[in-house]
Amino acid sequence: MDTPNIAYTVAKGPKDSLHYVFSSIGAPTILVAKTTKTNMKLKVNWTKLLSDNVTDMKNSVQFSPTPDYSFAVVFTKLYEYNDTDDHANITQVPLLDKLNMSQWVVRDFKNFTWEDLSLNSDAKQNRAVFKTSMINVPFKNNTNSSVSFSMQVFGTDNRETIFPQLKYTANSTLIDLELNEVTPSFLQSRYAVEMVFLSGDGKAGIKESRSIDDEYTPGVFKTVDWKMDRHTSKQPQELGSFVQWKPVCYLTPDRDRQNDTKVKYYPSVNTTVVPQKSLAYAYYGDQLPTVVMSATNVSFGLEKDKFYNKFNYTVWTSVIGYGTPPADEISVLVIVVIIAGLGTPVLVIVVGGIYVCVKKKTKLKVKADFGAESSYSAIN
Amino acid sequence: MADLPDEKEPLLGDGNVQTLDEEEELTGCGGTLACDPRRWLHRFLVLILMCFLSFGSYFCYDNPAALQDTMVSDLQITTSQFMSFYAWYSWPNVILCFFGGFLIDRVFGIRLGAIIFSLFVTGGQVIFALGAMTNKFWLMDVGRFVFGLGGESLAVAQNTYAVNWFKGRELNMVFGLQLSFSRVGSTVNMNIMQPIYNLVDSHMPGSEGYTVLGIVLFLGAGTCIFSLVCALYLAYLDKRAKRILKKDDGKVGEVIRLKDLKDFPLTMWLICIICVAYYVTVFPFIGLGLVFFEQKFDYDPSAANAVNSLVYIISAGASPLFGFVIDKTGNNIFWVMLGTIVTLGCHAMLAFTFINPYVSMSIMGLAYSVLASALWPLVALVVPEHQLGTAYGIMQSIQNLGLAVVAIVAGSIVDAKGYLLLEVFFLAWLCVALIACVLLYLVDVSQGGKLNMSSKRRTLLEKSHEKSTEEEKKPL
Repeated sequence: MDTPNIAYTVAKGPKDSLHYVFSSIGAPTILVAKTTKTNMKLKVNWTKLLSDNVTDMKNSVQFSPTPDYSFAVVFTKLYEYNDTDDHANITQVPLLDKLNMSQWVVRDFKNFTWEDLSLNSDAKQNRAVFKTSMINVPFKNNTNSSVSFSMQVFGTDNRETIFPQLKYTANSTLIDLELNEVTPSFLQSRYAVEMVFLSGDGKAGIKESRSIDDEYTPGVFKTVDWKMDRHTSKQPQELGSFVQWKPVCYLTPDRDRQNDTKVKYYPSVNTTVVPQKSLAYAYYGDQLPTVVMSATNVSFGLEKDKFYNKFNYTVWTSVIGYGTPPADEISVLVIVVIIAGLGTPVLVIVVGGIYVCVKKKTKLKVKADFGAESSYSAIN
Repeated sequence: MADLPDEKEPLLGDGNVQTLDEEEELTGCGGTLACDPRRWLHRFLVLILMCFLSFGSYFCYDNPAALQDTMVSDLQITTSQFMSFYAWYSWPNVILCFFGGFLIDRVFGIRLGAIIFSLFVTGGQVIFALGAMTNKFWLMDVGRFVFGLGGESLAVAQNTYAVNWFKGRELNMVFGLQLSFSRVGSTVNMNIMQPIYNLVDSHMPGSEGYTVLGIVLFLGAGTCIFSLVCALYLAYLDKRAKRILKKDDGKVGEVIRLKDLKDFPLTMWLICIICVAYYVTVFPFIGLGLVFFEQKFDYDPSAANAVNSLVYIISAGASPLFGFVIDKTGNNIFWVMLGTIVTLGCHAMLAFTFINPYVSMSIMGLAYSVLASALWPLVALVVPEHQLGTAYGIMQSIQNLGLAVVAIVAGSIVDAKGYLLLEVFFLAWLCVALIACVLLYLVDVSQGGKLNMSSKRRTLLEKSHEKSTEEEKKPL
């Protein structure tokens, strides 16, 4: 059973609003549109959207009136590979092994079947969960196994309380990808996903930045930003969009630090291959030849982490949003400790130095007054 | 009827000389250069045995640090639980450092004492390895506790042997050499444990991680067995030398009297604060260093371990050197302050920059050597000789207490808040040490400034003091 799911949220600001649409119809897609017009609405033509003929999907989803700016992120493929050499690098795994057996299982997300959105979601927390349904081609699965995407939107700027404690804003949404008890095809399986970033106006690039601060994600000092900057050179520079993540994912649902592993990304490429069938295709439709598309792969795992097979679980969190990606700042606690810690000895040294000078001056004065050493030698 | 001691002593001359027995003649192999306790080669060979006496203990002490990433993953433990391996080593020594001397002097004697402590070290490491192999975390903690019972006391035994065989002549050099050997043991551990783990792992595919870990730790116990053999052989040679040279058994000689504590001046307590506040920023940091260097600087395990071992290997060479220099120049408090400030700078570099950690760790090794060489002699300047045993005892006790507590706290900080906050935590401790240093200087200045004297002035003062006491002795 495959339920066509669409989750739609509007974030209303004082001057503009952001419309978020996440759908699992076809390849899971998040579509975001920004507008200053308060009356913009989402219009969905369900017959065309759900038609068997894929080309009918074009333009079945529309915003009216047209938004100022829009972008979409599509999760197109789920890769599983046999990491016999334990490199955790998808570029180093050949298609066939020495016995001509395939080392890859490639699954298109658009072929998955999904449960009803309302079964797994939490409206109070503004969390929509898209979960694959049990009867699922082509997994050999047990009753528990599932792949799920969770989208959570917020009205304020804050930070999640569970690892990786990413910062979110009112202009962004938290996306969790969870691979839960998916039966691996190999003894040394690792997984990767392919993603496509689309926008009507932009140029994309991935940048990794390094920070001294790992307060929120202990042991992780890097942040990866896949940014779609605006192409136009209007002043002031208009805001683009981004996908941000920390290069860490967790191998247990508790997200303990001792079972975390690395998330690797690979250079993004510009593509013209259209992700049919997906919400992005449904929205951008005919515009697709002019839409900017950037694709990349993200893989999960690090050498010697004993592969996906150790726990049969992986969860990865990213933040997708409009504007400038959030940056971590050193918390107040650190600054207070540093100032108090380093300031106190400086203070003590200054006060002590004054004390010593004063004492030396009085001693000299005493000497001058008496004209002799203050200690006297034994009487001979 | 008991012999009265007076009757047997000769009326003239030194009462200790026993002129009645002949000197034992050494025949055959026993009389050669290498086997004659009076000759230098034999003493040199004994020195080598002494140096290896605590090699195994230092080697195995930092096994956890060298294998942190695999231990955490194979045993599924948090960083805080990992640091309990260090805490349990320190806990028994909070109390035992008061009794080490007593046990060696009154209960076991030096030879048996060294063997017994060596047995504890070996047994503890074996239990530790067994705990790993069976994936029983509590057993590993027990192993580290037993290991701790032997470790520090073995160092006391090693020092006692040294004093007994080398007193007066080359003692400082021997102490320095023993410490350097031990530091070399720590360095070797850091650099070979991971390759050994990988080797064992590659030969046992499909086995559980903790089984491999257990085997590797058993191999580490091999160094403890080697040290145990040295202890046994040393005991035999010491007993033989005692018989041939008719010398007394080595004694620690320091009496611990807890009631001495009330006499300790403020300067002594400040020295204790400096000691604990400084050392907790070095050893727990090294314990956690491997994963820190792997994650912040993207080092692979062997490079991370190499950087982590820099403090040890540099202090192996630098400690004797700085000891010599500081003995010559005096001004101990300034050296202690220098060591603290430089270490503060190193931790700041590691926390707030991405400057190559080889730089900061090398400098930290030098700063650590400076501080250790300048701080411990201060105790002898503030406390009278008959209270020195208690003074060193309390200083080590506080140090071990601090290490035990801070080890666990540091592990918890890393798990919850990451490495930046851990470094800030260490910086705060160094600030405490620095404040204590400044206070020590001020108190000392107000009392005449004898702790920070240059050694020139100190010898002049000693000479004039000797002269005045001599003058007092002259009959009127």
